[in-house]
Amino acid sequence: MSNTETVKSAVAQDKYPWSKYTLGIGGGRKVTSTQYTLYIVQIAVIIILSYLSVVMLGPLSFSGISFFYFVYPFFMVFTEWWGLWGILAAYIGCVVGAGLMVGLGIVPSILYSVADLVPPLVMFIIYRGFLGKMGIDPLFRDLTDKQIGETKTHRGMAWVWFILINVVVLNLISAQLGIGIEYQLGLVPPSAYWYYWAGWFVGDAIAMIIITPIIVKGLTSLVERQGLVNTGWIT
Amino acid sequence: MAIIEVKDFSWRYQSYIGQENPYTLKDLNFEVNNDEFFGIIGPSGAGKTTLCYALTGIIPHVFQPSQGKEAENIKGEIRVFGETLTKVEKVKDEKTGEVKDKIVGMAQTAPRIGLLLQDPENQFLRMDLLHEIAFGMELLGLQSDEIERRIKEALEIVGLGALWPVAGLIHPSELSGGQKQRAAIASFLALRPEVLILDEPTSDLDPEGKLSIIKAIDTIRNEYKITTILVEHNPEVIQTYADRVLAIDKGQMIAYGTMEEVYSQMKLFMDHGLYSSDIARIGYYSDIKYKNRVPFTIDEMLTSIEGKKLNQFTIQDGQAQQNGEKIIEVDGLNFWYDDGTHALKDLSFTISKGEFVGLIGQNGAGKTTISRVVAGILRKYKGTVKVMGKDLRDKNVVRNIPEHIGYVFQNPDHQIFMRRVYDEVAYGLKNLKVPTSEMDQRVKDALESVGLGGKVNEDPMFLGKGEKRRLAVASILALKPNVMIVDEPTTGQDFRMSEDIMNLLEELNQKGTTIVAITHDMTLVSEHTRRVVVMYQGRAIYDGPTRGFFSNADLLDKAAIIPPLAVRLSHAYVNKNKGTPYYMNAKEWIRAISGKTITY
Amino acid sequence: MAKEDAEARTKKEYVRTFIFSMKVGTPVEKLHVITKALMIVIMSIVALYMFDIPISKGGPDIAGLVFLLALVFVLLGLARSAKYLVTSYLLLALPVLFGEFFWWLFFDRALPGPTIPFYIWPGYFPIGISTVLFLVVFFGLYYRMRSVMWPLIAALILWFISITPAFLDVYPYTWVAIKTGGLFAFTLPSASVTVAFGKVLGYGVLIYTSFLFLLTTRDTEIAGALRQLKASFRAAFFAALMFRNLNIILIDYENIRTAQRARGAEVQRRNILARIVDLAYIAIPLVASMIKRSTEMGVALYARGFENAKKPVDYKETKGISYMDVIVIAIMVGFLVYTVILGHTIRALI
Repeated sequence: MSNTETVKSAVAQDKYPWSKYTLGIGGGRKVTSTQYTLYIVQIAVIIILSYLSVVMLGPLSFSGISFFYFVYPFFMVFTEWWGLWGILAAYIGCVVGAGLMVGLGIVPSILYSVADLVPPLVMFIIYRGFLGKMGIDPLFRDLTDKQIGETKTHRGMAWVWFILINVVVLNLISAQLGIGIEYQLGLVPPSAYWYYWAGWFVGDAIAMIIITPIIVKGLTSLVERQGLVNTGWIT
Repeated sequence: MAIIEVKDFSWRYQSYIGQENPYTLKDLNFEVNNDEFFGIIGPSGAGKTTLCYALTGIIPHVFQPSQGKEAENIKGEIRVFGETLTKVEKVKDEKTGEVKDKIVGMAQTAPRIGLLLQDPENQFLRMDLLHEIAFGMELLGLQSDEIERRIKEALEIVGLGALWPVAGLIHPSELSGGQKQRAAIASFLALRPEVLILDEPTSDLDPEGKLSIIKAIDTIRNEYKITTILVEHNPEVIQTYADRVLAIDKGQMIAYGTMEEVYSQMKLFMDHGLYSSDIARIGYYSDIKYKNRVPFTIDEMLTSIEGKKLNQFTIQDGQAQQNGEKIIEVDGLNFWYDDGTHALKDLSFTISKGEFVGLIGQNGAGKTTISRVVAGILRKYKGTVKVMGKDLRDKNVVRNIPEHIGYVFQNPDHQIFMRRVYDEVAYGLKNLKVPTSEMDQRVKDALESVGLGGKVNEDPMFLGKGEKRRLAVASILALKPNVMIVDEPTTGQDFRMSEDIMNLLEELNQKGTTIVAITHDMTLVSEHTRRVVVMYQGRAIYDGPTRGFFSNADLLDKAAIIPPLAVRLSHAYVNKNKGTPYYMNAKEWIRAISGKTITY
Repeated sequence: MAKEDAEARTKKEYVRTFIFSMKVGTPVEKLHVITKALMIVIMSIVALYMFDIPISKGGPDIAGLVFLLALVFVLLGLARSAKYLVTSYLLLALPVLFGEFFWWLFFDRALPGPTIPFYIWPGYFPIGISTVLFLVVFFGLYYRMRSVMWPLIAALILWFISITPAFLDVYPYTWVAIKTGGLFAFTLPSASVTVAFGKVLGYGVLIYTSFLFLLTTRDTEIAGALRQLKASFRAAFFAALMFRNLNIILIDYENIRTAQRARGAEVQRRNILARIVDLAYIAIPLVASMIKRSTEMGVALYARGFENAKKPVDYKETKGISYMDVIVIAIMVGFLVYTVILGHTIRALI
C-alpha cells in the first residue's frame, strides 16, 4: 500500500504534467539495449533527413547549407525527447548526412557541424531547466494544444518563447557559427558572407516555425504513450 | 514433460499517460511439452506476439513497468526448463528495510530459447550474412573454428549453403525477404536452442516459400529435438505439423488441446474470426462429419461425402466484361531494373471497366512491378501502356494518373500521414484541387462506404489494424479512380478482417469501380475474382476466367501456385467422378452438398 | 530458381559499399578503413590549405590541387567504381562546380593586382572551328540518341570550351569566332580568376574524396575498425547498427513517398513551401515506423543473447594492417608535413 501512496504523493508534487522532464541524469535503471537501439535508430533517421534536406530542396550552393534545412526542427524536438542522444543525432546527422554524403569533405563537415550541436544543447538546458518550471512545456505541445491532460496551457507565451529562443537567438548563434567556420575554412567568398548567413538563418527559421507543430502533433503523444521520452539527459 | 509452464499469467503494457491499458494477456494457463510442435492461433490483436515476448522473458525483463507498478501489470508465473522465468515477488530491500515488489526469474533465455520475428528486415542486425549468423555465437564467446563450423552447417540446413563462400560479402539489401527469414532461422539454429518460438515467420512470403520454410523448420525440429512453438494464421500448416494448439483472443484462452480437439470447434473459429480450412468450413456448414468431427483433409472429406449426390446448380462466373470501356491497355511491355533484372517480358493485357481481376504469381514474378508501371511510379519501360486511352509516355498523363488509378499499398502504416481521419481522406482531394464544398461530401461518402463514418474526427493512430486498412482504401476511394489496384489487401490479417475487406472490395466493384487485386491468398482469389492474370518470371502465362485457371492442373504446376484446398478437393473429386464441375471455393462446395448459400 | 541465384552469387565480383559497389580484390579494397579515413582527412586538409594560400604568397597552389584531384581519380579508377561514378555523381557535381566558379568570380573581386576585362556578351560570334564542332557534336549525338536536349547541352559545353582559350589569348580568336563588338563588359582582378579556379579544384578534391570514401568502404568494416581502436564489442555493434538502419530507412522512405505520390502529391505544380510540408508529412510516418522497428530490433537483440553476454568474441571482424597501409599512411603524412606544416607548394616543384 505504501508504494501506491508514495506514487500518489509524487504526482501531487508535480505542478505540471511535464514536471518529470528535468535536467537530471534520468530513469535510474541501467540503459537497456532496446533503449540504445532506439537512440541509434533516431540518429540514423536524422542522418537521412539531413541528407534529404540538402539534396531534395536544393543546396544553396556547395556548402551543405539548404535553403530549407527541414531537419532542424526534427533534431530540436528529438533532443527534447531524448536529451543527449538527440544532441548527438544533430551533430552526427549533420556531419554524415549534410556533410559527407553531399560531398562537403570530411574536415569541413566535422567542423561546421558544431553549428548544429550548440542550438539543441542550449535549448535543452533552457526548456528543461527553466521554462518547464515556468509553465512552458519542454515538449512543445503547448504550441498546438490548449490543454495537456488536465492542465491548461499558455499558448501565446509558448509561442513567444519559442520564437525568441529557438527561432531567433539559437538560430542566430547557429548561423554565425556555421557560416563563420565555413568562412574561416575558405569555403565562403568574403563578399557573399551575408548572403550565406541570411540563407542559413531564414531557411532554418521558416522550417522551425512551419514544421515543429506538425512533428509535435504527429508524434509526441505516440512517443510519450510508450514511455519513450527521457526524463533526463541520458534516459 | 513440460518445458514451458504458464500459470495464471496476466500482463498489460504500462500506460504512461491517461488511463490504464486493458490486459493484453489475461489469466493464461497452459504447458508446452518437451519436443512437441505447439501451435498458437488467434485473430489479429489477440496478443500472440505479446505472448511470444512473455515466453522468452522479453516481457517483463526488457519492457519493464515503472517501479511500484510491477504487481498490477504482471500477475502469475511463467516457468521454463523447470525454473522461474517471470514472477513478481515481495522483496525486502536490505538497506532501507522497505518491502518492495520485484520482478524475479532468469532474465536471459538466449540461447536456450530462440525467437523468430515476423518482419525479416528488423531482425537482420549486421551488415553481411556471415556476421549475421555469427552474431549470437560471438556473444556466447565460442571458438572461431566452432563458429565457422556451425555457420556452414546452419546455412546448409536452411538451404542457403551455396552462399557460404561469399557470405562475408553479402549485404542485407541483396537478400530477398525469404532469404533473410532463412538467415534468421539459421542464426538461431547455430545457437542450438532447446526451444524455438516462431511468430508468423512466413506472413510476407508466397505460399511456396511459406511451405518450404515450414518444412525446413519441421525437419530441423525432428533432427535436433527442438521444441517448436509456431504462431500462424494458416490452418493447413498448423493442421499438418502441430501436435497441440492454443487459441487465444483478446489475451484470453479460448481453446487449448490437441490439434483435432481445437480445430473441430468450428463455431468458435467463426465467432472469433479465426482462419479455418476450406474443408472444415465445408464440413461445418453442410453438416458433414468424419468420425464425429468436421473433416480436416481432402481424403477425410472424400470419404465422408462418398456416394452422396451433389446438388446441381448453374455456376455464375459473371462473364468478364471484355467489351466495356478499356481502362488499362498494356502491349509488349518490357521492364528492366537498374541492376539489370529483366522483370517484365513482353507483357500484354487489357483491363476493362467493371472487372475484378486477380493478379497472381510467386514472389518476384513481376506483379508489383507491373502494377507500379501502370500506376506511373516506374517510368523507364519499353512497350506501350495506355490508361484511359492515353499513352503513359506523355508526362502530363503520368502526373494526372492519381485521378484515374488508385493504388492501395500493402502496409497501411506507410500511407497514413494525417492526425485526423477526415484530413487523411481529404489529403488526396486537396492535391487534386477539388473544391471544398465537393470535398466534404466526397470524404464523408468514402468514409461511409468503408464503415468509418462514425470516426471522422479520430486519430488514425488509434485505429485497429483492419480499420487502418479500410481508411487507406477510403482515402483512395475518395479520389474516385476508374480503377483501384490493391496490393496484398489481406496480409497478416485474420479471417474476419480479410473477409470484410474483400467483401468491401466486391461491393465497390458492384457499384462500378474496377478492381485489380494483387495477392498470394488463393482462397480470396477463388472466392472473389472472376478473372486472373497469372505471372511467372515476368511473363503472363495465363489470362482468363479464374475457374479456367484453377481447373487446369498443368497450368497450376507451371505457375508454381498451390491452389486452395477447395480446389484441390475438386481435382480429387473430379478424378473419381468424371463430369462433375470444378467447384472453386468452400461456398460453392457447401451449395453443392447442402444446397445452402452462405456468407461468412 | 532460388538455387540458380545462389550459384550465380557464389562468384561474387562486386561488393556493396555505402553507395554503389566496388570490385573485390583491388588495391583500394585491400586498404584498411582507418588508412582510407586518414587518407581522405589529410587530402581534405591539404586541399583546404592549398586553395587558401593568399595572393601575396602566390595564390592557390593550382598544380598541387590538380595533382590531388588526379590522385583521387586514380584511386577511384583502381577501385573500379569509376563507371558508376561517371554516370551519376561526377555529372551531378559538375554543375555545382561550374556554378561555384562564377560565384567566386563575382563575390571575390576585392583582390589586388592587374585586372582583366570580363564580358557578359564577349562580342564574338562563333564561326569557324567552334561552329563546326558545335554542329558535328549536335547532329552526331542527335543521330545516335534521337533526342534534342542532351546533344544540345553537350554541344554548347564544347562550344564554350573551344571558345574560352581565345579570350585568354591561347590562340587567336579568328580561329573560332568573328568579332562583332562587345555588349557589356566590366573588369575583374585577374587574381580572382586564379582564386576561383583554385576553389573549384579544391571543392572537387573535397567532393570526390568524400565519394571515394563512401564508394569504397563497406559498412561492416566500420565495426571492425572500431574494435581495433579498442572500442567495446557493444559500442562497435551499435555504431554498425546505425548503418544498417540507414539502409532500412531508405526503403521505408521510398515506400512512403510512393504512397504519397499515388495520392496525387505531384499532380499540381507545387511551391517550395508545399514541398517542405510534404517532406514533413513523409517524415512523420517514417519516424513512427522507425520507432516501431527499433523496438523489434531490441527484441531481436535480446533473443540473440545480447543483454547478458559475458565475454563476446570477434569472429573475422577485423582486417589486419598490411605494409600497403603503412606505406600509404607514411606518404600521406609526408605530404601533409611538406605542404601544410613546412609551407612548400607543389607549384614550386615543377
